[in-house]
Amino acid sequence: MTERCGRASGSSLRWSWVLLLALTATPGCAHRGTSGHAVTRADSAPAVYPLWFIHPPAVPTGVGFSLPGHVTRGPAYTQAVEMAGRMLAWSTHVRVRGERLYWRTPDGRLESGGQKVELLELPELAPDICQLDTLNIDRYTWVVAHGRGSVIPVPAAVASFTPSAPAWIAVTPREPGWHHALGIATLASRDEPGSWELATYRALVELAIGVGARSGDLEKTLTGEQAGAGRLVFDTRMQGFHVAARWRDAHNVFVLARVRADRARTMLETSDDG
Amino acid sequence: MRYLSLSGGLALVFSLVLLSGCGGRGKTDLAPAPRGRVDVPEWFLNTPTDPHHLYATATMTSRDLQVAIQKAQTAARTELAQQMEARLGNLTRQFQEEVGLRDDSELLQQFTSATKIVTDQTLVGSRADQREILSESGIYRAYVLMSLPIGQANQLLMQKIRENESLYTRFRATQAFEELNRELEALRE
Repeated sequence: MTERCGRASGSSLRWSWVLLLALTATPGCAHRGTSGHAVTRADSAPAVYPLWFIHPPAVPTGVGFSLPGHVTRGPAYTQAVEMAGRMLAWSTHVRVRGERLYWRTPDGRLESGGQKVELLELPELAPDICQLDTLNIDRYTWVVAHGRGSVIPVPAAVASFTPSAPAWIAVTPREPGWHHALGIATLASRDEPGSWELATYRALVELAIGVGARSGDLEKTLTGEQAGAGRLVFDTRMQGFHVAARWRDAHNVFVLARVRADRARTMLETSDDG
Repeated sequence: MRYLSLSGGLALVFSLVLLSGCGGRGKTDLAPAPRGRVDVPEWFLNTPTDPHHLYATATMTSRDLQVAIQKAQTAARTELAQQMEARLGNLTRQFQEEVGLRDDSELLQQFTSATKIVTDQTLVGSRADQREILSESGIYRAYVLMSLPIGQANQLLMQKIRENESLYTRFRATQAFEELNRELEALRE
């Protein structure tokens, strides 16, 4: 296990001023449509992020960071390592099994009936198969977990998210041989790491559904109305899932995830469920 | 200025009277007032068509952005599944008409079970191609365009039919086979 520690206080100060000026110049910008999202920060949000967090490398890695407010670095480091470990486990090998329920109202609206998802076959990540890199920026501790054979240099460069939404939020990239999915979570200003983890988890589930899902009606009304319930069943095994890009605005965080098509397989045909 | 003087008020009324007479004489414009622009994405109104994909659009709302998108995607996926089911239903009917299966219900049953397997696996490779998110008074409205490649479903259907030799032999002699095979050939190119 290795660690690299770097400070970027000068850089973050400069970015804070840029951000402040940008916010002052656009006081009326609401989040109207995807192109009109404006970046505003909660007080507890990081001013800058590691560049590799915004534009992750194209290899499976796990990223974690700590909440500010820890008196010492120890608990912050532990929290970041745990998050990075979970992310790396998802990237290494995961079977996503679950079902999503929904029901239709007579006027055609669709209401969510909840979902049940299990993440199975996750690997135990022993220290000998992963390497951790650490980066301290302001009050935040960042940890990158690399799997065996995917260790990449982690530069200490920092950056801010662009004020306007990137194109991949509106148009999912189309790359032959890859599946892509978007995960979104409401930004919890007191738990931004948790928001990013939730968005990543949602992207993982969306990917699993995209790879293969079975859609079925549970019931239909006798009157022939559209009312009824349905479910979406999925059971997908993935290796090499990773985050391709991240973005956030004042209200939500966005994660674009992808997996190679030949490393993702639906298990529905052999599954007992159905 | 909060109060107008008497002379100022008279001048204002006089001006308004004069201005009201400037329009066309005796003609009243009955055209509806222009409405505010409705931000509906172009692909939502004109769903794309493509021989290799099925497309479906949907729009849903929620206070939570992810839920709005998820609901819209689920609705679109349901429609994709229905489109695929209808497509395979047509193929079954075509097969039935061409072969004249009144006397051979077992063969029809085999064909139907082959399409059933494909129908059960309909949503292989479904994806949200495009999405548009609008915020309306604290409520998100998500528009999504979902696509489903039909190549994988075609391949699976052909594979299942090939597994049954007698069914495959009868199927090969039909126009339905020709069409399915043509689609598979196009996919390989």
